[in-house]
Amino acid sequence: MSEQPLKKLKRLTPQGSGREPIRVLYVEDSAVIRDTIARLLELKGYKVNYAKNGQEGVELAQSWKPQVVLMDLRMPVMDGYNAINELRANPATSHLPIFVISAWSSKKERTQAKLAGADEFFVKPPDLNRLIEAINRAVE
Amino acid sequence: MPNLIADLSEENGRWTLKLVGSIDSDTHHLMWSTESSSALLKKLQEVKADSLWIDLSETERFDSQGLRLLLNAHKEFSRADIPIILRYPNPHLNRLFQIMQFDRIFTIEFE
Repeated sequence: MSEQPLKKLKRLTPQGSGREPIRVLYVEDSAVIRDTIARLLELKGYKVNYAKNGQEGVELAQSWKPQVVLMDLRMPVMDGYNAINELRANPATSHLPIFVISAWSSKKERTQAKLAGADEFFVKPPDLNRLIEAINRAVE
Repeated sequence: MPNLIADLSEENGRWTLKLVGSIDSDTHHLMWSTESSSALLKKLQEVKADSLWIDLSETERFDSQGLRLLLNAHKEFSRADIPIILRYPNPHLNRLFQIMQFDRIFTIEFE
């Protein structure tokens, strides 16, 4: 019987070995930014699903049941502000931690995002360590 | 005429894909020297390669779709336990990789 080679890397989930990975929904219309952040989070052991606009994000938040939502602001179909409003208005999703990740970081954008119900604001590209800390803190 | 030459070669067991030119909408289909990254992965598995080095020393630019193709390949090759190492990106590409945080996903080797 041939011996199977050992895997070079053993990946642990963010919550530790043996637990389910944290589910993160990323709502972002830019495919390359979405894929990059998703890959970075996957490499850290998170389970990432994505939506291409706010409308898809709201629907996926209800059906996929993420533990954290990352939200862009300027998107087609439904923007991030309206998506956050909808998530906060629905009892099934109102409790979700929502972190905005936006290239637009003026005081006005930050204030509007907060008023809509965002918990934290990250400027693109987000600092991965800070983002991971925020996700883990929110899920604890 | 597409501005890309993708050349796969092997030397002392090291498999290198050299990309000469630009990765853009005219050249995405040429990027892996085979019809796709999956086909290249299959080929590397057949020859029992333990990694793929992508030589970017003569790569001028990547468009966003090209970056996505790299990311998808990273995922695909990682599952097969064949790491992708990016070599010698020019300063412009290196800056792009840093902004996109590709340096946290790929091993990048400099001259």
